[in-house]
Amino acid sequence: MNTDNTKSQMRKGMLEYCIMLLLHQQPCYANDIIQRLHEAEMIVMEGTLYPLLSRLKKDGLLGYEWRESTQGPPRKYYTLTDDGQEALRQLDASWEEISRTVNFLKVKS
Amino acid sequence: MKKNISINLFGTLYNIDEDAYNLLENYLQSMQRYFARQEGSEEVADDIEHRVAELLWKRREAGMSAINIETVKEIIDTIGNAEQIAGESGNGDKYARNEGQYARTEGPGENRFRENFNQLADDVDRFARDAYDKGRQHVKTHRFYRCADDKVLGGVCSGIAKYFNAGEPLIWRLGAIALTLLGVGLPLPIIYIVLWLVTPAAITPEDRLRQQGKEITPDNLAQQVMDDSQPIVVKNENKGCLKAILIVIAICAILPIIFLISFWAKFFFHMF
Repeated sequence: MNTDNTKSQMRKGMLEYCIMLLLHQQPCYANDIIQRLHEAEMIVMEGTLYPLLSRLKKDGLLGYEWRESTQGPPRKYYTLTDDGQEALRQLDASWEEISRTVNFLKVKS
Repeated sequence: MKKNISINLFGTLYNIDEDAYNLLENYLQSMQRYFARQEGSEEVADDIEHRVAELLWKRREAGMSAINIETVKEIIDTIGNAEQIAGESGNGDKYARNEGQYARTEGPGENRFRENFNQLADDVDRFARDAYDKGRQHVKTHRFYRCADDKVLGGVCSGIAKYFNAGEPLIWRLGAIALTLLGVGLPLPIIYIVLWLVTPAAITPEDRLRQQGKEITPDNLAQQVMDDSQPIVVKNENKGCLKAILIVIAICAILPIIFLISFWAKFFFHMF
């Protein structure tokens, strides 16, 4: 069976949540996010991040501000808005549910 | 030895080889075309340009003096091209494959035709993809385009020659003319005009790769960009004459066909 499609669907669903978790701790710019995801061994093609960030921003979950950098071009620092915090709480709850379900079924079978 | 130019990326100057510049510019343009069509994603192409600038900055800090094509390929590999991004983010698959086509306008009527055609082509693609999981890559990347840069009328014949990778366009043109004159290929001019109307011209290097059924990878793209930048010797003096002959043949062929159709229509009308 080809599991590639299922795996990529799982990753897609997770990615949004992971990014919000990252931004909950501190404001990040794209490179931070990429590096943190890399550290967490979440493999993602960099380019997919930008449409996702832009969508979250459009939905009002993220905001950003430009900061000048001494190393290279100016950077866009993203933060979670209040709506974003609320959404993150909901996602936390639903992640709990999912992992409970999966663990439960894993033990049973 | 390579020609070198300097570019300004967000206030920093870089030296870049000419072929690397062509590839990079093409990459950024294809990103812009792709994301410009998606509502609310206008900033994304800009974000990606910033990311490119940042990756170049890092390499310069590490001691790179001039940007060469290998560096650009590496960067495209890390960020991903429009097709890959669309495939991963999952919402723009269809748009990515038609990347650039919607953006082109040659006339409002033709554009509507083209969108319908693209829609149909997408449905066919999807069906074929479900049916032949293995052959997916082929269906996805091999598409028919007209040749905008090697044409007498609409570039359909050279498009066919390119698509099937079979011979010189001139042979196809002369063959089509001969068949039409012999009477065997009487509908050919109409088929030609329909193809002219409904198929897009290959304009971007991505189009040219799909036209030849090649996969869109940074390597192929780089090769294509380099091929495209070779000066094309156009023998225009003969084309005017050929064009006139073709138009006359087309008119001569279409008139009897219209006559035939009306004749048949009348015939059927009487029968029922």
